[in-house]
Amino acid sequence: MAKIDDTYENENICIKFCGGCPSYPGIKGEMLFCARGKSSSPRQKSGCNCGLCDIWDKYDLTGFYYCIEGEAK
Amino acid sequence: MPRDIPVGNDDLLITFDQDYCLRDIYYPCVGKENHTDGHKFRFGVWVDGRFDWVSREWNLSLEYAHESLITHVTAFNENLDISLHCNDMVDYRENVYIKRIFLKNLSDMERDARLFFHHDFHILESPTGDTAYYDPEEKAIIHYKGNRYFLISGIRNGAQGIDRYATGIKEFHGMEGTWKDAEDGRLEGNPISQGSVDSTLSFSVKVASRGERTIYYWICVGDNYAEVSRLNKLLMGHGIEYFIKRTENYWRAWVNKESLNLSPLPEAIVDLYKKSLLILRTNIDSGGAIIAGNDSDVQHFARDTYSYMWPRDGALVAYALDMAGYHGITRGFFDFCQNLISKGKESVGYFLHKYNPDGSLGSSWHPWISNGDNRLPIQEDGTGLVLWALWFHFDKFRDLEFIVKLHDGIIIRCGDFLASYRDAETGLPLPSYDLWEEKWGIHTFTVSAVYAGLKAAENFSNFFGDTKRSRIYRRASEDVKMAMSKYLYSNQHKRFLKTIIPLKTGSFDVDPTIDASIYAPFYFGVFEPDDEMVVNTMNAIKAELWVKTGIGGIARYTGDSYHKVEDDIKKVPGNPWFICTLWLAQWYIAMAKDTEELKDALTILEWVASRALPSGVLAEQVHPATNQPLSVSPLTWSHAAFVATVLEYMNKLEKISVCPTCGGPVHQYRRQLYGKD
Repeated sequence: MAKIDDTYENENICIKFCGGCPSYPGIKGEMLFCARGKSSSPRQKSGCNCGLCDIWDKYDLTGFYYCIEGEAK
Repeated sequence: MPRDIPVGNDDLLITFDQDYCLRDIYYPCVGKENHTDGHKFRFGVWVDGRFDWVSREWNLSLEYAHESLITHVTAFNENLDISLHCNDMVDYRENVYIKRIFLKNLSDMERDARLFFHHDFHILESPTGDTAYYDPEEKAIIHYKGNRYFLISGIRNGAQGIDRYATGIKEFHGMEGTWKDAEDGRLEGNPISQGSVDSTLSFSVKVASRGERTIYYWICVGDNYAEVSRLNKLLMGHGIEYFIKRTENYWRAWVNKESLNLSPLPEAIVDLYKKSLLILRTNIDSGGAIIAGNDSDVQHFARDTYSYMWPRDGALVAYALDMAGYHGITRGFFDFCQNLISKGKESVGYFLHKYNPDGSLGSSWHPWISNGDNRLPIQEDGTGLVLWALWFHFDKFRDLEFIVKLHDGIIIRCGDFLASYRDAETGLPLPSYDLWEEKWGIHTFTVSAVYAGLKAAENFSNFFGDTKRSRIYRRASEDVKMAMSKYLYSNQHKRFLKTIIPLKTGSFDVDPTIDASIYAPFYFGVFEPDDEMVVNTMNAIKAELWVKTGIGGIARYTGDSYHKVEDDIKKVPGNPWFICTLWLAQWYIAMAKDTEELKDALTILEWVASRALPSGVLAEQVHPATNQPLSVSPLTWSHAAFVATVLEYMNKLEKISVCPTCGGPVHQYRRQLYGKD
């Protein structure tokens, strides 16, 4: 698994999936949790869109709820 | 009062009560828009100045015709000295309900007889704004509101039409309705009424001494006048017998399509197996929804009905239907599920509580917040079981073109949800509501269903070569299995626990109630049926939940208060439920190594057959002292559990009865292909 690039391009991909996710914390400036780590104010698990995200495929991720569990390792 | 002898097609469902009153007319979805709102449509007879409404006070028998969705009802009235033999049916293609009545005069004199049919429509489930009128062109009474039309007519003395009619006001200023007008044998002929209205019509015939006359009655159902008029003309054009015959033939062909050889089973079990398939069919909508039960009377107990698609119930019914070979129906169900998952909150891969037959979200009592914390109010077993049933479907039929359409929608989304909606520490699924929709926590049944769903997702991933997801799902299922042994099996109780509730301290509250649903670990493949944990669990269920009355059966759990009728929980831990009793049979079957060991399962199948209504209808539960049906009736889950158990029995019999000479099965029950020796 490659390290996720913290780029504007990946942010744009991320927000399409995280933005509509019921577990998305919605804190200003927080996104791309798989690259940057968990939210400062995580919500409880309510379903996760990570597995549908193009970044998940692109970087061969296997986890979910990065906003709660922390960045991909 | 339970419902009996339902008849229907994909869009129209008619049910009766035990007085043989028509009670529910569902259209255009099976289970949605009950245009009677549960009110009685009375059916009466006047003979030579005496009148009576047909009821259980008559010598009444409600059954189906052999292997078909046509009723076979007989009613005898000693005072009137007449008997009726009736057949009710809904055409298998057109939305027409037909009743054929053979009226027999049992006296030695010629007699004047009149049949009365009363219609207490509440179109769109409300009495407001209905119209009932006599339409001379159609020779029919028509009830309508908005885009719902019901045209009622018939044939007597060989000609279409009705002899007398009345329309009138009901449920307003103390007015009871036109049915009261019928009791003097005459209808006063008011040609139109609007508002809260009903109607009654009558047919008059002369019946010779010891003679018999045939009367036909029908209700055409549609969205507009043109449609019901078309149906009325269609009936007259082809003749009523054409529709009766084709429907009778269709259902007979439908129920026998797999030509199973069930001869090793007692006749009562084979009979109930076929009736169960037919009754299940009446509860499935053309849009794919498998409805839990259509019995509007249950709302008087629970303020709501069972006319919903619960993902759990639907999945278990789909599983049974797939076992029985009805993949054409179950595809509709899986498509229905895919539509649910493709939108709204469900798009992250779970199903909510229950759904209306049209796919809209059903009513719910599960809160989205508890003690200030947000809560996802799901019953997670429903999600797991839909995936489990879908894999069974695909594994059996290998309909790749069908399944590929569901891959991203159901398989990936639900698989990901099940794999990830877990506690990072314990590996257990996060809490949700239990299968009985009562308790919040982590339940043995739910966790077993999650495991089954994950294994199904893994199987699909393997099939499609998705090694990454296969690994994710396999790891998740292994974690779940390990966590089940660790947290849900109790060495102290020597069985699985019904529920554990996580505490903020990191430990769990244990619910020690013994509950029949803890059978699930073997049925959904988490542990082998002869695993010590499973054996201990099933023995505990048998010992503690068997109802110790002459009725017997397995209760749901100790102290079950739902429709409770007996306080002595030692004797009656709860009312016997058909599904819970059949779960024990399923374990006997899974354990059996020879035909002798299968006998315990057969005893339970016979028990179920003996507790069904004469029509074959299975309620949810029965009275522990009287065997009267309790709660909703019919319950599709009860019928599905019976179908699945019969086929599991036959599968096992085929497997363990091997010919010592050729090594082939002694009892091969599945159909041999045409042209194959």
